[in-house]
Amino acid sequence: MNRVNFKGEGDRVFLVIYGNPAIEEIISSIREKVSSFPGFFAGMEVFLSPDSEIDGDKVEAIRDEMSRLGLTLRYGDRGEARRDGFTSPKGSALIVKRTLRSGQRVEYDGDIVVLGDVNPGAEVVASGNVIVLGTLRGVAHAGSRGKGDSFVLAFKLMPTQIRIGRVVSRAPEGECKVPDGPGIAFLRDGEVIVEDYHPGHPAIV
Amino acid sequence: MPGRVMVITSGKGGVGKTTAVANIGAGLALRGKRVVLVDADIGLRNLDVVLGLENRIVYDLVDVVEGTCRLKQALVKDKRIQELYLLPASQSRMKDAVRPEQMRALCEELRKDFDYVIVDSPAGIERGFQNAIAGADEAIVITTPDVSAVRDADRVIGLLEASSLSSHKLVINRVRMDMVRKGEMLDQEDVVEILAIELLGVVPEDEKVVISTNKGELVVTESGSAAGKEFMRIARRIDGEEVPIEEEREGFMDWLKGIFGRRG
Repeated sequence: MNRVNFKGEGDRVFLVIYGNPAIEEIISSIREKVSSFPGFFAGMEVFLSPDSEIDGDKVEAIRDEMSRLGLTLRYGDRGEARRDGFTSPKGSALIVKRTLRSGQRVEYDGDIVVLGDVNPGAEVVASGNVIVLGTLRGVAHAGSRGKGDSFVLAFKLMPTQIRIGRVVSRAPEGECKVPDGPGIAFLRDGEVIVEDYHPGHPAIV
Repeated sequence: MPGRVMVITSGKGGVGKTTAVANIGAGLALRGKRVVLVDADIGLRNLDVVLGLENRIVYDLVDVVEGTCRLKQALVKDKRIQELYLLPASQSRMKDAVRPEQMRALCEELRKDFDYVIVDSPAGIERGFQNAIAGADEAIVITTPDVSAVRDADRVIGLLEASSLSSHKLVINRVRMDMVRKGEMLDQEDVVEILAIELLGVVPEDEKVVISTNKGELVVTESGSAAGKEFMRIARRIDGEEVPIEEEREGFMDWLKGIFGRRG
């Protein structure tokens, strides 16, 4: 009975494991499937399905095996995909091709790029980074699942509120220095800092 | 040739929708068009009061929709302006007395006999608003130049963009030039920059509006009213005339031209 399956959903591939089989059974199932379609699986990023009921300690072993087979396993917040230092894994950015108006909200597990403005009353919530190629006047939440090294970047940073990881921040009362050009907001020592953005800014990891 | 159906809406209350519907509608009628104004604010009707026709109402929109009377029986002819009619709302019923499909059918019926059907939307974005936009092809969004109203207008424009209406234009109402010059009133460039739709007109704050409303008269017919003049120009623009958004006030003209030039 096949308790280990690869399932495609949308543009992602999930590893689904039913019940809680022995680690050896899991490993051999994975090996068997991957070797039947070597070209298909090469370099693939696979997400461990949230429906899987296996013990957490088996996950490491599975991840190692998949690494050996040339795949990357993503699991919760700890399963970071292998990064080469300057690109994010394919398919992990959502591109919004218009201005977000008041009352509109976009939430995504990954980075979000808005090709437009984010008006007051609009919300952008990303588990990754938020990049606004326009004026950010609404609320942006980067690192919505707790990732504190995320950033918010905008051509014009004039947000109602910025949230990074678990930190919520707003502009100080009264006049405050808003970057004239593109600005970037990030966490330093648990506080949201806003600085002029320039290519190579250290907050971009 | 069937008429145009447009809804005047705002999100925020009190920004001047009803006043605009009455005066723009009257402006169009004064140009010889056949115009019917539809009050979609069931339960809180105001259009009849602004037009000074409240004591001529026998039947209303809900009566028509429920089949109590024929559509023509509910139409109230304006007391001064030829070819201007009102379909009043009900004051005793609530918004759920009418469904969007019924409004759509009603507007379809009206446009056969009129050049312009102008619907006065209630404030908000719930059932009343949904009813008001149901039969319209075009929308005019009214805002005042303040943060609250602009926020609501943006929300409404977002909803309009997701609906089947084909055009949305903006009217900035109750502008006080003295406050703008002192930097006390929201910079209109910011309003237009956030809302990002075509500007149809900029109406100055005018105390004559308050006076006229209480008397059931319309500023568009008054020669000395700045707001009335702009409502008439808006009517002309709706009717296809090229009327630049300008005013003969020092400083104002150049600055407005700046906006117009940027958006043009």
